[in-house]
Amino acid sequence: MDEARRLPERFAALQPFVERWALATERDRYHRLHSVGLDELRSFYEAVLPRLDEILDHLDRWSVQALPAAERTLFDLAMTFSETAHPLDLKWKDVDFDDAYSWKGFEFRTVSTVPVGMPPAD
Amino acid sequence: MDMTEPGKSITVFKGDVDALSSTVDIAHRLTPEFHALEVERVFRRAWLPIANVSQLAAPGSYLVTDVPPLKASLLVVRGDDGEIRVFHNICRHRGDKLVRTESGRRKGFTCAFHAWTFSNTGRLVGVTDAGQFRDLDRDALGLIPVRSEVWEDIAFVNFDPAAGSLEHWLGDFYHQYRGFSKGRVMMADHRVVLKTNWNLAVNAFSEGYHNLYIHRHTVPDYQGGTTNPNRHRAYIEVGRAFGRYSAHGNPNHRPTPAQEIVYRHSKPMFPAFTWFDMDALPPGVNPSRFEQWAFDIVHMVPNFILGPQANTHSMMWFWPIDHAHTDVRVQRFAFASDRPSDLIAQAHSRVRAREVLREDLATMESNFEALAAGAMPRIKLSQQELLIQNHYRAVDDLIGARHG
Repeated sequence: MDEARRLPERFAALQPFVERWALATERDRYHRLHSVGLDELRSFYEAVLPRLDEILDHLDRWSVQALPAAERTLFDLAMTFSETAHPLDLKWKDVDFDDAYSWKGFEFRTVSTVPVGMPPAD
Repeated sequence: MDMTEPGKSITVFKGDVDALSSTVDIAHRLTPEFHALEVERVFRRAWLPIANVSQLAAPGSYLVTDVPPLKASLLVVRGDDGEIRVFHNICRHRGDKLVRTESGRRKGFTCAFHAWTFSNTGRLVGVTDAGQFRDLDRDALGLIPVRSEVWEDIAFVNFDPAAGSLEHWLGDFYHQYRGFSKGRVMMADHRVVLKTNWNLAVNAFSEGYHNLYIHRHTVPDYQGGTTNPNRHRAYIEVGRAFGRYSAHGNPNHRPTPAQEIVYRHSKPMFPAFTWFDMDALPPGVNPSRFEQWAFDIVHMVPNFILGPQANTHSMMWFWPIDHAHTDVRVQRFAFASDRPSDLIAQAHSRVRAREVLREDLATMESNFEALAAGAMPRIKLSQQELLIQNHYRAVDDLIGARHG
């Protein structure tokens, strides 16, 4: 196992999902969603949903900039959950739905809602 | 003979509704010839929102954007003097594109071609091998300014030297949104290029009539409720340079399992709507102070949609590339936060809104494909589609000729 991506001890049961589901960008999460079938998505969804309250309480002990490495991985996992829950939340029959504009058409620009220190002007 | 029942509705209407036409000639608007008129008389005359400037807080911070119908690349920059200015993104020497990065923070901008340098206020401050130029007037060779104004956190430009002020263009509206976006930052920036005409794309976002039908996969129960089964708008207003409506949130909306948890830890956002103290809103947001308010859709002529909501808002641009292609840009905003659960809740909201948008985008392409064949010259619009009627009234006013 990649030690750098180990989850906090109390969430060790979710470790098998880290490799494919702890993703750092909206683009990567969207592509992951559309690369799996509903069954694989369901196993991730059903593993995380009952722990979500606890995950959010745990992560909120830090600001996002100050998350330790294990919590950063857990945060990425929870972000991916948040961005891939809708097919099961909405009881779709697949990871996508009929008559939707192609997911491949989206371009994602980088954004950050986190107040960051201003880099020096060059 | 009209077989329909006299319309019962909760909608409160405001503005010069009688000046609008419920029948619009559409076929000729989808041609290259008409689009050429739109470029010269609409996009070169109107005040155009071009960028959100919430990210340009620090002196020297900049972004580069473009205005596709005018083929203009623009540099939006906060100078060391604190002013936000907009310049054509072009070097004053041989006219190469000056800035090639999307955004950043700089003291000045140096052209890659011959290394002329301009300050972040637009002055020419460095000419390489200057002794080889005869009669070089540096003061006359600063960056070419574009007339601009910042309204709330949105930069507007106008390419018409004879245009009045933005305040004149917007009228009372100009003063009605003070501070509505305060404390909010961008949480999503999505782009899509569609095979459609820009008018049809704006129209798809200017009415709520469609939402009972095309949004069944993504937000089946977020609007209306038992007292308003047809999901009529609570409020519809048309003005010279804008149209706006308020949507009715469904008080019996059932949150999905993930939504229920993430919003319990953060501020509820789309597709959940919170009831709260309306006095905290500036007067332009939820103008009728409708109690079960969900969100507003504000169409700013010609091609911009602002979507104010509690705890979040969206901005959408529908830029024509040509008569048959539209560059759609969607930005979403939420309160700045470094709390992990806030960011996870915001992610839930932006993804749901993105999936809702995919239902809208699909109709924009099929609508164009069907209409472009020309078999149907006119469209018929309901009272719930007054913003579309107003859109074509405004376009024709700018063009200076009424059609249909």
